[in-house]
Amino acid sequence: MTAEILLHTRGLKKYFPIKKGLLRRVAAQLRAVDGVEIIVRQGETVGLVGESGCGKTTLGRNILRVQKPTAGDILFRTKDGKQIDLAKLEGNALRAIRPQIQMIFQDPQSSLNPRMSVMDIVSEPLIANRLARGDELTDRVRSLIDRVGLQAKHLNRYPHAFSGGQRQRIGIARALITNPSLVVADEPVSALDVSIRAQVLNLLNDLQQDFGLTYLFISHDLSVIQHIADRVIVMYLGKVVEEATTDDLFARPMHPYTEALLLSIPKPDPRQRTDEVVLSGEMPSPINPPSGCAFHPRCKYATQKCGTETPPLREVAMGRRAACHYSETLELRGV
Amino acid sequence: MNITRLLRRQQPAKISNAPAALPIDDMAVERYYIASQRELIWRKFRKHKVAVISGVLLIVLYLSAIFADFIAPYDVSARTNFRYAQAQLLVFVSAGYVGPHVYGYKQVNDPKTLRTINEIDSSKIYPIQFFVHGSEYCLLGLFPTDIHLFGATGNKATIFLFGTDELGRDLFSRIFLALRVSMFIGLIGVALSFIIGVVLGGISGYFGGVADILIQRLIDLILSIPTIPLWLALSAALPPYWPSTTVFFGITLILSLIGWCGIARIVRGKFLELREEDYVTAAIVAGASNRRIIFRHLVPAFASYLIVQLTLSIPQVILGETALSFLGLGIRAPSVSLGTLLEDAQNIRVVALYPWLLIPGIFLFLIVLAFNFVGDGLRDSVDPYKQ
Amino acid sequence: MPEALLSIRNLRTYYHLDEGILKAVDGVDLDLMPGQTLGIIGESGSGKSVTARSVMRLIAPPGKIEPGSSILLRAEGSAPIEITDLLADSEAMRDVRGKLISMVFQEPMTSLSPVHKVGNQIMEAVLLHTTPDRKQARIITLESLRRVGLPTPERTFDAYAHELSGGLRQRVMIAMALACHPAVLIADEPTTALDVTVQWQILRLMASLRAELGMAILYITHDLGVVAQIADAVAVMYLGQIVESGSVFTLFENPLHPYTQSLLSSIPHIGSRARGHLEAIAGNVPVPINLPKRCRFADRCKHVFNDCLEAEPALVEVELGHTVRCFLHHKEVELDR
Repeated sequence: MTAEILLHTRGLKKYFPIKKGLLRRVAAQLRAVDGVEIIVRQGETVGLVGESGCGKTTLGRNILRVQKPTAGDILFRTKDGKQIDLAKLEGNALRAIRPQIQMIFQDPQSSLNPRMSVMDIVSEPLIANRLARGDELTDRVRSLIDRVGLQAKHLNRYPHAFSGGQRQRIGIARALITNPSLVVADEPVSALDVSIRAQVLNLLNDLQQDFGLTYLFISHDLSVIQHIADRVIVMYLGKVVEEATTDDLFARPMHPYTEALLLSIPKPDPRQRTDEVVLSGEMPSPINPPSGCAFHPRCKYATQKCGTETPPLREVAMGRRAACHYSETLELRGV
Repeated sequence: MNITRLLRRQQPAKISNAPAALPIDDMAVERYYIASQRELIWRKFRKHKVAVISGVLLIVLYLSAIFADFIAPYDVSARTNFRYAQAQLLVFVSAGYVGPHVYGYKQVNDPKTLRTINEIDSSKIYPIQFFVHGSEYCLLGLFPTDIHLFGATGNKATIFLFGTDELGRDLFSRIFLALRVSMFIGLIGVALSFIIGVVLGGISGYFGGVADILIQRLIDLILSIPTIPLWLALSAALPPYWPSTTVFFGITLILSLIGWCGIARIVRGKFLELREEDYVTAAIVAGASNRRIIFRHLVPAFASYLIVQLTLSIPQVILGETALSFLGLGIRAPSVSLGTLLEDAQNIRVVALYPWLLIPGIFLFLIVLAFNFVGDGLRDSVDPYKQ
Repeated sequence: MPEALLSIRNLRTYYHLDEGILKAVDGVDLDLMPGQTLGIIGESGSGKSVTARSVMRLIAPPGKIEPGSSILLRAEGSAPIEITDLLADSEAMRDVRGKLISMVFQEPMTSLSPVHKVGNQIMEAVLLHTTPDRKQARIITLESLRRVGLPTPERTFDAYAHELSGGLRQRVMIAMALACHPAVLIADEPTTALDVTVQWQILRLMASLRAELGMAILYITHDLGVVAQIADAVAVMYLGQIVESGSVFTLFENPLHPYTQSLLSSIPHIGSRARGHLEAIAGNVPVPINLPKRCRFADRCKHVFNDCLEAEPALVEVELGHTVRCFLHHKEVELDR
């Protein structure tokens, strides 16, 4: 039985106008997110991968309505079963919905206000939304702090007293205090030491089971994504280029960019060293994307058609989508 | 065109470090952990010996200014016959008397210049007593009294610790009463600039758009006019019939009108910078209202930075007032400020013959220096990147 | 037995802080052979970056390289140089930097001057070490830009740092480091801040440059995958000490120290779908101030026993070319040096 759809974005676009000249006229548009449709179902972990400039972070921020999309819908299923369009909400209506969608940040240094104690930081979402007060508030914060692996004595300390891993736990507690249904995790372990990453990933896993959370996990680290995600969405230059279950994607990608990404990962095995060329060239600018398929200038398999016709994102196999003219015929290598 | 800045590209951040070096014993460790940002700043500040000494000096001077009537042995406009008298230095032991005292004067005629000079006469001894009765005044503006901290006793006793001016007025008393005007004009002027600057700078930085453009152009306009001529023009425009206290406030207002521009720009810059901080985004995601974000997250973040700026701006206002008064366009009699006192020392003849008239300048120098040291010390303590 | 190009013996770099002495590097012995790539793995607080900076004499007060440390450079064509004997800002040391030993940093944006063209920055090094002739220096600079795979060296020469992408900037940094053909290249996490495909390109570039120029590389990173791909030998650092070292194959196939083993098992391996719990290492990295005299990894070690809490284990060669600092594998205690 497939779970309910929790989040569905349709044709989501976010363009940043580039102003030039004395009168600040709009010279061009930076297409950070250029028509993205994704579906996230209740209880799953969807991994969103891509490199700098692909738009994954901007997509995350638009879903959270930290930014307002230029176009498109963000359909979200609230806890009382209604479907609303986040893209159209403003002001108080938007604030009312916020407790249900929360975020975990990448940088443990800058995501906690250094002037607030742990208690203040974790209780803020409850106070700002008037969800709890007094003893009830303290109890909720205490039990959640305990659940993320910290102690009561940490509550009146300040962020500078904690290590990166601990700060990230505080950030996780802050994200979960309002019992959200969807959590957008923006590179939550990238800034942590290798030995701490495992701790935090395990914690996120456990919390998902305990609280029935749904994760949109943004990362550039494919090993982490393979470990934690159920489904993976690959982005390139503002568009989705491939989407599949984790097992399928890693075993046999169906887009040349995904193949290049997988082959670029350095394997922690010195016996597997290779000399072949995986990917050349630089990521093009989102202001002036190439014609046709955005990846064609760097693609090993590109043909004439790739430069003139933009391949649509379509179903290329059971439960898999890819934006490539040749997905079915190319025999791409996985890991 | 820098795409990076536009897109806020999420490059993997540097691996974050374990907490900085810790104190050794457990109690100290716990104190470090519980210490809020403010306490950490205070601890760092305490290590700056010069800044701390300067801070103490300023506190002493401000207290002196508040209790100036009590400390000063004479009234501000009390004239005596001892014109341009030398300073009566404090002596503790001399033939015939042990204890704090000063020597009196004898008036002699200088054969060359035919002027009357007040020379120090060590035969006249005026012992100093504390808590003596003197002229009446209102302590702190509330309690009428006539007790002064010290005074000289004896027939026709005088105690001019810094000498007198052209009209025989005690310079020591006038300096301490002048401190009141000079130092508080600095505080009030900066407070006004602060309020205007924070409000306008905050609107500019947080809301942006048309308001931002308008406010910034206004600041550009004001700053493009040369400061001292502007002050001169405005203060010359103050009606001559205004009483001196009203003039005091008028001057303060004029001085702060320029000062707010600098603060507004700083506040705007800080708002723009802080708006992008992750913890502000976290507050937005948490559902915090604009008001909560501004007062709970943004303002405390730059409050310490702003305090540093204010501390460094106070001497500028003090100097501004001094300049105006020195040129005769500032505080009017019977009020005194360090500037009006220096006005008396404008010509070279006076300075050569009666150098004690420059003592107000020394006070000014010390005050400005002290504020700068304190401001520097604060800035170093507040800067998170300095080890 | 060929002589080591760079011999580090008993390197101790301490930071003298108000709170105590922070022993960032506490007795490190390393040998870098000519043409070899030695990978140093460690996390934050391990001392790996401080080691690299100590070799380049880039340690500023309150940090100090303690007496008794030795960093000996035996470059071809010059007499052996004891780097700890030179003054950090002396001309002799400046001769070493750039000409004999070069360094590439993690964040190229902060290592390149924003107000000079990148070409001029490279040329500065060439003029200093190779030739004072500007025309000749420009040719050498363009050649080094071409060598790092930049398609249009002339245009890149005239670019400013902020106009280039992260990958291009790092290539420029590498060009700058190699312009004078140093014997040793120290790379301090050069690809950590880069995207995975860009990282792949840079690693490939470094491998080919090593083949072409024959320099030895000291590669510092926390990424086990990168080390597996690029290193010949590996040293694992924890809290200022080397806890295990050996050839890259030995270390990955037969890791002996519990820390190395935990590191290897706690990273999600690409290609394996163990979607459950990772074996995390418990606890946090302590701060290296006032550490008690016992095994520094004892608090977090799965196999800890009594001996570990009583004395510090020494770094001992337990099989050919494989050293480890652990009482599970030997009984030797670290002596006070």
